[in-house]
Amino acid sequence: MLLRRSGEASEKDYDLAGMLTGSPVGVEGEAIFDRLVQLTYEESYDALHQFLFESKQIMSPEKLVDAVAIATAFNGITKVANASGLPLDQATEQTTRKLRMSSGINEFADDLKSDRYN
Amino acid sequence: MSRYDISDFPRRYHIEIAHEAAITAYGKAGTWLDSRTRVKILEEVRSAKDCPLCLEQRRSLSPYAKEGEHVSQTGLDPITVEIVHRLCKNADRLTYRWFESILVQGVSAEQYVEIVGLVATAIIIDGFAGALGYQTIPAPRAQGGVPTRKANDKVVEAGAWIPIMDVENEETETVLPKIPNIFRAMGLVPESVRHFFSVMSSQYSLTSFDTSLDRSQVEYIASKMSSHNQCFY
Repeated sequence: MLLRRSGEASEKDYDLAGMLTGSPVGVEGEAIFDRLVQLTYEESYDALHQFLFESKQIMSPEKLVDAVAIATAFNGITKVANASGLPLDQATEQTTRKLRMSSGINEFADDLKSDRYN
Repeated sequence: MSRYDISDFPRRYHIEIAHEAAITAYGKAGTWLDSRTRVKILEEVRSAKDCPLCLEQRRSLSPYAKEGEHVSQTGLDPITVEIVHRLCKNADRLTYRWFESILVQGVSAEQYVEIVGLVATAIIIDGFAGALGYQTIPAPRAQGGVPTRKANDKVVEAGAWIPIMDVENEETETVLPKIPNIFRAMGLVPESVRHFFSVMSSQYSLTSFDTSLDRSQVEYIASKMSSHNQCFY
């Protein structure tokens, strides 16, 4: 949701549906971030170290370290959100209705998960 | 030691200091949990990644279809072990029914919140260290003490599974609330909010913070990780 806001602030048009479908979104370095996030999520640290080592040829180590900081932070905070069945903030709920529909985020809604997994 | 040397990557000392302090806090009595339990929860997070039941549940179409016992060596009670392992390995598919089943087994909402906070904090700290090849910060010695058991009545039902922090909210210029729900989620246990965000805010902030990434890159990474975790919020 905040990437949408970020795009508006910087007057860039991101294809946010790609967040879930895997098609390019338009953020600089996104292919590197995709892999970095995936390996962090999977806790595949040997593969991640190799990837970071190789990626420093095309992205600065500063950016790679900071990307790890964001990825690990969100791997934690999403646990808090998921474990508390947290609803969206009211303003976000109202302003992102279309985006959530088109991007598939609605599939992660708590009631749908309950139907699907219980 | 990894075969790929990334030891020349820059350090983020403000993050490492926050992590050290947060790990130390596991050794102190919390609001509802004693210090031994808190340290064991940290140790349980660290051993959960090798639990065969979690791996089976992870591979299943429904993680609730596979029953059994988690592998645990900490001596924690089975309900706490279940919460820790689910959060570590299957948090993307938590359901309200599962949450209810935890409460039915005698865990209070406050205890649950404290456990969630400890697990999520450990996931961040250990994830950061693992990703960058740092040594895991050792678990502290339990220092004893008595949980304060101080209930926070400044909470409100807001559609979450648990009551969240009651605040007078205002919108910021970005139309986001000044205090978003994610900050309010663990409001039943204010100390859990402080502990978790002492780590979280060293690595990310909604407003400006120390990073070499531009805002769109930050939010892209955040969104991608949220997607892996099937996080609706």
